[in-house]
Amino acid sequence: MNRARVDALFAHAIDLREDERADWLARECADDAERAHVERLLRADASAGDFLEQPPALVAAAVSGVVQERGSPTVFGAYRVVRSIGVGGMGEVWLAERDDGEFQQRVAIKRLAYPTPGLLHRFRQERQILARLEHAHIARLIDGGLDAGGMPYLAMEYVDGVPITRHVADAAPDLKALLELFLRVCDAVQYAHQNLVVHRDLKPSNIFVTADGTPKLLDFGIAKVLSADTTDAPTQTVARLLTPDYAAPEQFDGGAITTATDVYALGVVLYELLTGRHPYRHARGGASAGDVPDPLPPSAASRDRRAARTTGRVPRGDLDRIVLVAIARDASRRYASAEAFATDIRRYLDGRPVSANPGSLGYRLRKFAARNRYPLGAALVVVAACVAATAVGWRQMQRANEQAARAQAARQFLAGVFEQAGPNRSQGKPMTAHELLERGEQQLGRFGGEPAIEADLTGLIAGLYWDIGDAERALALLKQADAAIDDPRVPDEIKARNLVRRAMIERRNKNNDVAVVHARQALDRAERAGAVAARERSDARRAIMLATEGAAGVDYTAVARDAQALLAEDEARFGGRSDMVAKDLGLLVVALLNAGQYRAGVDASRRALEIDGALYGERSAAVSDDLFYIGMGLLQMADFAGAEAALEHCAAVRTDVYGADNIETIDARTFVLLVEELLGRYAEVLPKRLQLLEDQRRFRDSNPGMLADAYNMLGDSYVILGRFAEAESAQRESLAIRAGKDGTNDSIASRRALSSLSDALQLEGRYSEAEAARRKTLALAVAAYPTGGDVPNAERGELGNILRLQHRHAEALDELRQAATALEGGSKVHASMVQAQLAEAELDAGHPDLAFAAATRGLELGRASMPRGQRRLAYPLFALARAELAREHPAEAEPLLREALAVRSPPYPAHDPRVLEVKVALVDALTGLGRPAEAQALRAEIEPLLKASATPYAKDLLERLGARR
Amino acid sequence: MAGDVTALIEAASGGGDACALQALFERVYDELKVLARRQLASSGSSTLNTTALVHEAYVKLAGSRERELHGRAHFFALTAKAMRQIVIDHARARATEKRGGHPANILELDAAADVIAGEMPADELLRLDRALTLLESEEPRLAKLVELRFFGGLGIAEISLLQAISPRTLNRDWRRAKAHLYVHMHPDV
Repeated sequence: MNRARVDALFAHAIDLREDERADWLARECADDAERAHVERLLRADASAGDFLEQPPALVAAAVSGVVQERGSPTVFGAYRVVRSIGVGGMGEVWLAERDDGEFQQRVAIKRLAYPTPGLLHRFRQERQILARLEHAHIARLIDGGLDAGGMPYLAMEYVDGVPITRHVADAAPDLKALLELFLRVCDAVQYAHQNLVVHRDLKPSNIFVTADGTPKLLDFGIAKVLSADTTDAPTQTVARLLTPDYAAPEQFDGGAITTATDVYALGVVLYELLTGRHPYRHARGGASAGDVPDPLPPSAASRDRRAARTTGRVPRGDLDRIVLVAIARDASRRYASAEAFATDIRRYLDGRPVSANPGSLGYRLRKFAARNRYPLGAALVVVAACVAATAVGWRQMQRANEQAARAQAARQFLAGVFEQAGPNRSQGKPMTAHELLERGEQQLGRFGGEPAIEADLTGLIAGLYWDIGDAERALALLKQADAAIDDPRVPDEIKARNLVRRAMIERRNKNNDVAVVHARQALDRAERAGAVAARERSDARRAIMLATEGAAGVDYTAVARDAQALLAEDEARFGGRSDMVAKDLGLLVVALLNAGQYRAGVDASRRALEIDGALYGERSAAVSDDLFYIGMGLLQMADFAGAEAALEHCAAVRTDVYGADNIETIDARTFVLLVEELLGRYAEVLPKRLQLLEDQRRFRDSNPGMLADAYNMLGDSYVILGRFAEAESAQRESLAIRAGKDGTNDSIASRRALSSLSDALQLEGRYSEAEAARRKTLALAVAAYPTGGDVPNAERGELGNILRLQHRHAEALDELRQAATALEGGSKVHASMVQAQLAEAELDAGHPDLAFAAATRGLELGRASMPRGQRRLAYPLFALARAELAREHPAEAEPLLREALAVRSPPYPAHDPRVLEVKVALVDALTGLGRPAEAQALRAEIEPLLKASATPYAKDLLERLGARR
Repeated sequence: MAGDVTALIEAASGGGDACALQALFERVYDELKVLARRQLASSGSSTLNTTALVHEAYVKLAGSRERELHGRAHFFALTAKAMRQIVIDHARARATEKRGGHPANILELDAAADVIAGEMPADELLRLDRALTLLESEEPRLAKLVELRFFGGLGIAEISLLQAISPRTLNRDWRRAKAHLYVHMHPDV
């Protein structure tokens, strides 16, 4: 038997569907023995499952000596042991009493199972913070020390109660009471978060409920105390301490531990309380995101549970979504804080709409999408989301900090760097900024004995790295600088400055909760530093606003108000044309644009532009940001020419500052192209779009969503240019980038590309494939918006339309009537579209009067929601014209058709079915109006084009054309 | 320290210098153990995560600067192999204990076993090691992937970057490797 052949056959067979395999093997295998081998491998493949999927944990004994036997202690310092309470993952726990007779105090003593040298030191560091946690629902950390055997222990407030899961099982509260209990837990967690303490190890056995029903959280901050020094130890080590069922994915992946980490654990606990089971039951341990199946919504998970039925605890709809958002594996999709989580639960209890929504390019996308549905087109909305998430103005914060008291040392240092950069030392080649900074970085070690200067310069170089667009390097340096955060020799204002920089970069990386924590610490440091840190104080306040601004449920009007207040203060303190004021304006612009106050946003950005130009020069990052937001604002106001000018200017400046393929530059270039398309220049845009795509390709791994969007937009451009096959392959590429590990596109993020794919297939005349794709988008939309709404119903309308094109009239009418009814009172743009599709279906089914009513309504809605010239308006225009023709009113039809044609041609080419269908109707109208010469000329123009097309729709149109002859 | 390891890596990866390779392997093996002990001491946990260790060893030995890709790929392959050695050495010791060796404090370690997801019993690890050695002779590329992923704890994305092989191919290789090993370990499948 040939081993290589068996392997090759096996490798091929695993890609086949199971039901295809037998035939294929029978055909390909040389003999029975070979086939038996391949089949054995296939069986092994099917049974392998989790085999080898979990790396082996290295057990202590593998690397260290024998663990020492330890007996049961009777005292811990001043505490006398009453009895053992239990053994946990970290060690044994005892109930103890204070022994000095002064007062009775019962404590829980936790002794660690394994020697941990750094622990006491960390304990002392953390203790101040932990002791600050005074909350009715948090068990306090009281003391800690070494026992007689030299083993460290912790003493905590003793709570006489049971784990929350037990309490709920015993007391069986109804849904409302259960949620209210849970809200008290959230409040405690939120309180701790406000004090900058993340629990990291929340689980039912750490959430006790006392006999009178009061929840108490145990072990707050303990995981942190137990963890190694945060500056250099990977968090994975800590993760091994945790209970895998409740630890968030980032705790295993080495991701940032943030308030969202606790939100995850809270979410899992709530899920379990509601359903009695764990959401990721089969995914214990450090499985990484893609390997884990999505959890069932709690309602489905608890559907068959008797307990849930009898206690009326069956959660539904919004509560499902709230829980699923809380336990999202991707931390950035979760609620940013326990408070946001609690707020949604409260809204649910009050019957108000909740912010949780799995549509999920985030709240800002929804906000943008809601505001911009029509004038800009859907493609813009997608990009708008990416850009809305882009920071404005914050980069400016990192500038002009150079005037520190240590300017002398800094100057010498920089002089040294520049001297190195002189022609003698760099072999005559001019050095790039990046090389210069690398040299500088290498020399940082020179200041090892002077931590203040080292910290200051580290931050400075980090800021410069960011300015030249290397955020990764900047962040690495700032993390390095974090090591000095407790060093008393480094002044608070330097710490504040570096913390602000860190916060801003974290925010740029969309780690908003990490950003908030650093920004708050920065403010704390700046306030401690006093007057010398006035600038840092302002920076920190701005950073906090910017970091919280990205979270779910933000009220941008309120952010704008706060920004105005800070602006006024800074104008008074630093002067009206100061860099501080420019930064405040940057923040204000973001808030105003997001709040829909475009005019005010553009004005503020123009003012910032003037100041930044004077401060940093016309070719600076700050100026490019201002230009970008001017462009965005003008775009929203439909001033396309103005937007184009601003964005082109921005792209040019960014190309200078960062290079053509930097992500900032790409943002600007993307928008320039969109604006050009909005101005109708599709054909000219196409080569530029392909060029842009080339520059985006390198982001395939780091930012696949952006690349997928780029292909999606490319496909949309092809559709407009009538190049359907190319459109199809672009959409398929977009889908391939978005596909999950298993190669399927089951996420709502794939809906747009699937929808565009369906459009392209439909225009190619491949109806059954188009229908299949459309049914999938509909399913995704329904799953994402289970309560209905514009998106699923718009999808349903599209499905109806593709059914109509296949002459499946009854099915088409079914879907379209349902969608039209559901969209009453919904988005007018979508309702107008669906009414137009319904009208055509009624016509094709032979109901001209119903068609006329639907088309009239469709155009009415379209006129009310779209400006003349909007391409989507062509659908109700055409539908109504067809209805008028069916009613023998060619005079009414003609102007409608002319308007539709003006909208569609250009940009669509002459052979595009969307142009041809209008012209066919126009022939009909002209004939009816007794203008045979014009009709004949038009007929002669389109008939060959229709005959040349192989699509079923072309045949339909030919038939329609023939009917009048 | 980073300096001479760098030289070793270069010697070992460039010219196929067997002595340098052996020296480097021993160095990595020792370093992994040192790092593991240190982590154990500071984490309070009884178990360690091999992924973290492998990365830490890289930073420690090769320095934090980005290396050229070939050197990095080589280093990680070596580290994963060393990790395999450590895990298997331990599994062997433990299997011996179970077969009537000394009654060490295994119980106390087992108390923490519930937090260890997916740990393989010692004898299964030993059988895996044998199967892997066999696979190595038949298809070294698959065996290397198993070392990197299972023992080294590297993710597919990272391996893809290191070896310049597409994630798609790697995922398929992974599936093939698993099936082959599974057949070796469960001949009656």
